[in-house]
Amino acid sequence: MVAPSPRIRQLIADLGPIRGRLRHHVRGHRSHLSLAIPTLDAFLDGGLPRGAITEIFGQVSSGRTTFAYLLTAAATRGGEYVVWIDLPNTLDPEGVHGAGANLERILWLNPRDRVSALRAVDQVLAAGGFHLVVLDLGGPPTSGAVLPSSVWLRMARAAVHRDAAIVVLGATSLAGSFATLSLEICASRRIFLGKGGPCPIFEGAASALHLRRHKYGPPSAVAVDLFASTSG
Amino acid sequence: MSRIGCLWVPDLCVRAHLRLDPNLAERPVALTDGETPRSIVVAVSVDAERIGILPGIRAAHIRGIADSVLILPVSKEAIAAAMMALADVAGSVSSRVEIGDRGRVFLDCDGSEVLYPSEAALATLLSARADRHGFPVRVGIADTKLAASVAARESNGIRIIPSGQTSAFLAPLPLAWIDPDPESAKQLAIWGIRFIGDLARLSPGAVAHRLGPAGRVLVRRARGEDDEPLVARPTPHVFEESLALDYGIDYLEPLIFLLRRLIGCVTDRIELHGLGCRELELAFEFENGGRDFRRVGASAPTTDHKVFVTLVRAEIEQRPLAQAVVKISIAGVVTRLRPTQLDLLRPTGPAPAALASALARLSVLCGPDRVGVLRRSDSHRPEAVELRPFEATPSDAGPTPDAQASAGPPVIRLALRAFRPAVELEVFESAGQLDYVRGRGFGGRVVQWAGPWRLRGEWWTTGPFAREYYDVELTDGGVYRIFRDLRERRWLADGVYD
Repeated sequence: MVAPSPRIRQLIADLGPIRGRLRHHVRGHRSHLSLAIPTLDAFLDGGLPRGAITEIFGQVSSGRTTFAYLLTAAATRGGEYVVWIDLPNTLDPEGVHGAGANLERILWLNPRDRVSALRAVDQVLAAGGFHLVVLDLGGPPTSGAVLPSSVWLRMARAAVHRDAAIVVLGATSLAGSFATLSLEICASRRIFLGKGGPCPIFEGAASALHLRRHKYGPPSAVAVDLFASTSG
Repeated sequence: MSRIGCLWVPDLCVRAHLRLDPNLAERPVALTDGETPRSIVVAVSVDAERIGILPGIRAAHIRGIADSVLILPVSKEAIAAAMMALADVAGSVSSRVEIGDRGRVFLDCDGSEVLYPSEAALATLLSARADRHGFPVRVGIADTKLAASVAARESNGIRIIPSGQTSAFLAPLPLAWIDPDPESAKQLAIWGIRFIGDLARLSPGAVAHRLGPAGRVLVRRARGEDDEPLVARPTPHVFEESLALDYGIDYLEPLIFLLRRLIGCVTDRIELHGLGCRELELAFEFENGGRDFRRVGASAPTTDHKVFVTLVRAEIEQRPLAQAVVKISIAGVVTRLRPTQLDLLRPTGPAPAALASALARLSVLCGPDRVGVLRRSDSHRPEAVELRPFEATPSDAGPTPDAQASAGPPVIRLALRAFRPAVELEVFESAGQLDYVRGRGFGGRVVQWAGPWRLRGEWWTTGPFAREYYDVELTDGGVYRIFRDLRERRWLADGVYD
């Protein structure tokens, strides 16, 4: 392999700050859905990016659903309409309401299969007026059920066209490079109070939010700790 | 002085049939007054006229002229529906519309100058709109119904008679344009009166003395003094279309092909009124004389015919028709589309029409019981939920962004992913402690657990419940909410904390 000439190396070095400024420019013009939680907003560089796919993945009881409820509550508090495409049929209306969301602003869909779920995304985006689409795909995909990249490409374009934030919830990363943000949530500890007593209490769970991928910036090495309580 | 418009379709009879079956346009068509060879041809298409088929000959003679001509009996229902559709076109610009005879529809054009730049612009709009619905119309606008009708018939497209110039417009026209009865026409011809202007110059009293009361009316009409009022039809609430078939259809695809056209006609007419279709009522007549009625409703009013075609297809696939269909009737039940008040401080929500269409499509895609607003139902059972229709109405508006800022950060509450229905479990206990839990799709040794909490309720009903709830962390990493049903003596999981 031929080593680059000093001139080319110099050009690459000069491009560094320009790339940084370009990233800042792109990010500056992208609107965000703020979570109204300063720590999370700062961590996400302003909030959830609109006109883009964000994937939130994690194992069972990691806290991904809690985080998605927070996003939904933030959107409805801002007067926006949300679509929750609930493939596993696990949305808990009391939990969403408890997170602060206005249920009347959440259109709930329970498609029969993944293909219907993806078609539903297309149709709600085509209708317009929905600013947050949560696509809850449930557990890990079975073999042969991995979605082709054309699906994500189409979804990403639709999100840009409608300036909607699409959130994909799953057990593993699904959208890959088509996601602007990839967030992984890992459970860190569960708090049970009064163990050994007559009636122990499950107080809540702590999780760590990792930024695994950011299209306009480097992945963050730092995680944000979240604590969610069962008593609210 | 009032202003009246007239829409006239010269070949309404043929157009009414082409509207329901556009494939007829590919062949010369002759419409007869019956189904026997002795039936008289009452209307022909342009292609049929070109090869020498003219109204008045018998159906049997057509075969002697050309084999390619399609002979169909006139459908009065098709003509009536076409007239209603033409009236709907007129109704899209005027609230007062009268359905006349011989393919004429009248509309009140008073005050149109407020909405349209000129009467010519209004007439152009009507002509274009009618053309889109399969009617190449001629439009006339004048001071009276008679003058408007004559203007429409005399024109090649659009004719506007300025206000106060009706008599001048009518004067040079032949007397036949004001439709004198045969006796009067014969007598006037004997007198040498051939043009409307000649009659207008005569004294009404003198003409009445010789021709009777009809003579006075004729003179008044010749002078443009027609005072026949416009009798407006009531606003339609149901839009009907029907189609009689030459032979029975028992396969779904050809039936859907015909239904698509009929549903399109219904939704197009509803759209002209700015309304939405909530439900379609379908009536099928079978070869053996039987009938079947179906109702297909959309989750939200829409005028997207594709939505209804999909719904109708699903309905027929679910419950197939018993016999071959020989006649289809469709009625669209309308409802007002909900207007939306936009807000300067909130983001724009879905547009009502687009939302209605999207909801209807989503209902087809997912199922009607899988689309809506999911919420807790009025029950003591923790798992009880209900589905309500989704409506983007201003009344459900949330706080403004300012209010959001002042509300402060929300308390983070641990979410539960609900299992609907609850998952049956095998729970192993050891020395009074939970030891191992196994359910469909998950399971593991119990790491730690909390509980129990007893929940009893609905003991005043026939379905009481009594449960002991536990939160258990398993070795698979999940924290599940499980309960022991004390009445049925079994374990179930109703969710996982996530």
